[in-house]
Amino acid sequence: MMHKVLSVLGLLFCFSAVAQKSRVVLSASKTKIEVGETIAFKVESNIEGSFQIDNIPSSFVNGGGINGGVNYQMDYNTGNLLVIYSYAETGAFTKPGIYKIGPAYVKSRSGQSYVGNVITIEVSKKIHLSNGDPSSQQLAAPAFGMIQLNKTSIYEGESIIVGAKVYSRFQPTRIGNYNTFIQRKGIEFQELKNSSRQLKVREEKFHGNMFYTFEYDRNLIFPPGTGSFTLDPFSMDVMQGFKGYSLQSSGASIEIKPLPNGAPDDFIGAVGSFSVSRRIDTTKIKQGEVFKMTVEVSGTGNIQNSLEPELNLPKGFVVYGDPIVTKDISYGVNGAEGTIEYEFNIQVTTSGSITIPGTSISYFDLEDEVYKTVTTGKHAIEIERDKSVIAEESEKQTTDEAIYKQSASELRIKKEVKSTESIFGSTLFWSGVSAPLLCAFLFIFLVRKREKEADEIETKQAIQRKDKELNELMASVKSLLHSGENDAYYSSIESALRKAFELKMGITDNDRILNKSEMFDFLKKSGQVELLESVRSLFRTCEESRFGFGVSAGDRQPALNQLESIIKALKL
Amino acid sequence: MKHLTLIIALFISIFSFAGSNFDEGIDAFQDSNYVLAIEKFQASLAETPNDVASYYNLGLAHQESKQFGKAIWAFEKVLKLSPADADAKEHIELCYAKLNENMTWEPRLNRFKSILYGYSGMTWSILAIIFSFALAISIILFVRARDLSYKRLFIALTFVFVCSLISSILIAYGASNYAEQTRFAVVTQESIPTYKDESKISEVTLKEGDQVEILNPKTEEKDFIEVSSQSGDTYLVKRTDVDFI
Repeated sequence: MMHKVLSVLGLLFCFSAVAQKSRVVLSASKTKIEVGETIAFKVESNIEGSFQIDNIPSSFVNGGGINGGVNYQMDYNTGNLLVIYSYAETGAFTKPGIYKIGPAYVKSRSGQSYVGNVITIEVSKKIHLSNGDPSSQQLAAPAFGMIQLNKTSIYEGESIIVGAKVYSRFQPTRIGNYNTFIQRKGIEFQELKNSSRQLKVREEKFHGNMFYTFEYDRNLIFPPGTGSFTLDPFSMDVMQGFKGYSLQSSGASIEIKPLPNGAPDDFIGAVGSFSVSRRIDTTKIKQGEVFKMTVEVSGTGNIQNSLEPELNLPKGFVVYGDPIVTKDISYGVNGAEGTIEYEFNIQVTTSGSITIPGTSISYFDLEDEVYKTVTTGKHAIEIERDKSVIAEESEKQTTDEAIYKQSASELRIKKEVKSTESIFGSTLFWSGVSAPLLCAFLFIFLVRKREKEADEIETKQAIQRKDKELNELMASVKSLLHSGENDAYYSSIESALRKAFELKMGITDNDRILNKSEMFDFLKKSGQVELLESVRSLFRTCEESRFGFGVSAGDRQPALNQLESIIKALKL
Repeated sequence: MKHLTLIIALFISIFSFAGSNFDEGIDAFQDSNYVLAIEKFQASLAETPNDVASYYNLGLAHQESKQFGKAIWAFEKVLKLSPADADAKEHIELCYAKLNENMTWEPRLNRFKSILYGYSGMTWSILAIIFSFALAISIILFVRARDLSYKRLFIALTFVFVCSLISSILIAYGASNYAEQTRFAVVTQESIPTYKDESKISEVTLKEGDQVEILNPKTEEKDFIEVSSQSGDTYLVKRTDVDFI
């Protein structure tokens, strides 16, 4: 039993493993970097095996080593726990250029290779920061500091790279008591990862003199507002052994230009280079239900400060609550780079086949110095109508305006032609109503008539039968007249008399035996008194003769005559 | 054969055209182009005059265009064709609320009648004929039944069918009258004048959304019609100033 259970479970596991789509994804921590800037390439896959990234140029120097790991993720669509294997290489490029890295490969233990995607990395020349001219006082000092900038004029929202540079007439071995140039609160800055806190001292000719020089504390700064922005001087002790010299640099000023007028309505406040994509989790839904729409804004610039994009949804689509925002941002010499994902829950109050127009965003492009708009593709969604939802929604809406917004959702999408023509009042209608009833009554009448006729025939037949029986009885009486069978003779007379009355009274039922009193009553009612007396007399004669003695054949004749006269009187 | 092909082609083109106006109206509405939507739904109604969906969508388009009088007319037409339509009633109330908060609207049919008249006069007429058949059969069975318990059953059925027959005839009469007669009209313009006689304007004006009962509906050829307002006053109004429901 246990074997069978295990086999089934194993089989299911195998099926699920086979059914699971292989996935190999190559990504980079940044796509635009400068020479010497640290970058990490990462391969993620649900296949366990050996990882390899193809086409890594010789100009890439692996400086951070190779890392691998395992993560566990829940697939909310299937409820399965996914095992994600990862592999990362960190380093820097030594030459500028556009590099196509990848594809990445995963070779499973069974020897099968799975291929991933290719990514493009743009490596620019190392950004050299410039500084202003030192004063003669600074040049005369044993050491002096300058604030270095990559730009002195930027657009609102744009980032600048700021660093400290020290010129010294003696070879410094270390520094102390460093106070940075970013001392004011409210300034957004990120220390660049390749900014070394290690002193890399070199010799440099500056203003005709040789100096020992080093750069220190390189930062990416997003200056706020517009106008003139001033950086505070930095200060430090430049040490050689235990001897040192305290210096304070001069400050630096940056001009921040406002963005040009005429920003599009869908401007998200982003400055740099951006793209947008969108996906929905279903294409079929029931009215009133909620679906997920994910909008992904990617790019380089000040993405961390960009605003939530406007969805531009059709009527009947209501954003349910605030979106879930997921940020994946890294900072480099080109600014903040990465992706912001907005996951919206959208309730649908409309119905039918609806196309959701693309979501657009606008940003300010620093290279072309114009606003640019990018748009996602459209999505078609099938919404099954649910009448109760509209009713509920209508109750929820308290303002008239809100109800108007529902109008589109209430559009009726199928024609519903109703006929106003009616046969009511027409001849056809009244015929249709009356005909069945008339037919019913006619049917009943005909059936009754037929039954009556059948009854009459039956009665006639019964009378004929009784008439025949009477004739037979009369013949029997006549035959017994001279036979000497006294009892039989008078019994026959009585029977013939009863039969004659049955005939007269129309009694067709053979089982019914007519008694004398009924006969007498009949005669009384019909007022035939003489006949009544005659009948009584005949019955008396029959009774006396049947139970008396010595009745001769000659005595029997009057009884027969009386019977015949009675039958005659009864007009049979 | 040529004629047949031509007729088929003509039918196909007519039907495809009929569908397109309605669909185009929906598309225009969804694009918030209500003027075009109104035009398309009107064209759709010209093709299929008793289409409830076209009237309803036309009402929505008028409502969105803030033409509340016309929207009321369209929704009233929906109610005339489909008296139990709760959505149309809701929208009429909403339009009146937008026109004037003091204006109230009561449906001409109560809830019970709305449901009954929701089925057409034709449906009730057919039902009456069916009940007549059932009654006839029930009577025959009653007469022919020998067993007393059957007789009781059939007499009860006969009673039920008699009641059903009478009810369905009465409802068919009501529903046919309701659907066929044009007894009401609505003012779709901002205001219209009323007349004491055909040459003399009265001081009273009727406002958008006002509904009037036509007192002499059969005088179709006349320019003026006698109407009764909700307050019970009677006026003459120009036939062209009101939209008939």
